[in-house]
Amino acid sequence: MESTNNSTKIKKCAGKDNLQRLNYLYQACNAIATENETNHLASVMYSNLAVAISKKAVQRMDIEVKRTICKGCRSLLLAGITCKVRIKKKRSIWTCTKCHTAKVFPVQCPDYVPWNLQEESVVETLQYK
Amino acid sequence: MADLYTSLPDQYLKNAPEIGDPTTYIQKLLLKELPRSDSQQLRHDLKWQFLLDKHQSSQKRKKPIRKKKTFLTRRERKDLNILKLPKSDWDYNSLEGIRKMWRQYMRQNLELAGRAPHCSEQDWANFSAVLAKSELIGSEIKVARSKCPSHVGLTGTVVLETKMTFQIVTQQSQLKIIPKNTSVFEFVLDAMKFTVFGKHIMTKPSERSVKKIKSVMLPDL
Ligand SMILES: [Zn+2]
Repeated sequence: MESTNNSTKIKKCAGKDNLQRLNYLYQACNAIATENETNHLASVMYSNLAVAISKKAVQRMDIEVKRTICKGCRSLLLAGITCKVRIKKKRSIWTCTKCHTAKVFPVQCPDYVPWNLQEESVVETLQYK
Repeated sequence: MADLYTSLPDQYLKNAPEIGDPTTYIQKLLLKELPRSDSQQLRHDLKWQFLLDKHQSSQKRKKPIRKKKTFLTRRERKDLNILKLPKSDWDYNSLEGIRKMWRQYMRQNLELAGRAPHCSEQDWANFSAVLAKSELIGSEIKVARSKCPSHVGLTGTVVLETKMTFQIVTQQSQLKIIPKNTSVFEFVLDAMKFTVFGKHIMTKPSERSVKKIKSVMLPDL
């Protein structure tokens, strides 16, 4: 919302507080993930909590966010630090170093763009200060 | 480093017996000392080479990659040590970034117009509902009152919230676990001070954003 329209009531979107909470948790998780072993364990807790909230509140996480969280131990996947990235048989395989769970993405079709990243999927953008 | 390979001083070498070539000497010695059954295959056995690091490599064997079954059971999570936070190696200063982010998040979440609404105003119920649903990880918290006298006055950054406890890191970089049930907490945001009864926020942190909160609760401690 622009500053000139400050007096009018701000349009609310559904589940705004949940989205803000998820956003904060994901950023906090990123901030302390690589400092030391203890802080890394705390960051696993935060991303775990973020996934739990999004399940409980039925707010789907964005695809870019979802792809950086391990499906097994729910820790943050940072290429080269907490996961191993290899290309085998035309697929890129992201293996978590903690629990050895793999995410497999095909690299054969570069034309494919997920629906969330296409421009038609965005209906409206709300801006908050 | 050169000193490592110098030969023994002469005074010791004087008394030593002459042996000649060391490998042939050892073979002769073994032939003499070993029982007859072993000494027959001696020439064959001496060609064996023993890898000293063989035992190590078997321990380092790679774990298989999981592709089909992705979720972990509780026992697997426990074996990975991700159910509990460790008690050592905390650093209060390294959490400064989180504290700053929490202040920013809280200002945005509460939509403060400079001040909190008074309890007689219309916004009050809405405001307290938002406050009860917001995240507390990262806040600088103080135990104002508690049934346990040694907990009173503890300050620290919240690193984990569970159903029954807050886990905080104090300024001496120690992890303290404080039960919610019997404590009253205070935290400061800008120029405002909030007081929260621990008994009223006793839910799982993941369920708190969805659960209905009672509008009237009696404060008792
Ligand atoms: Zn993992």
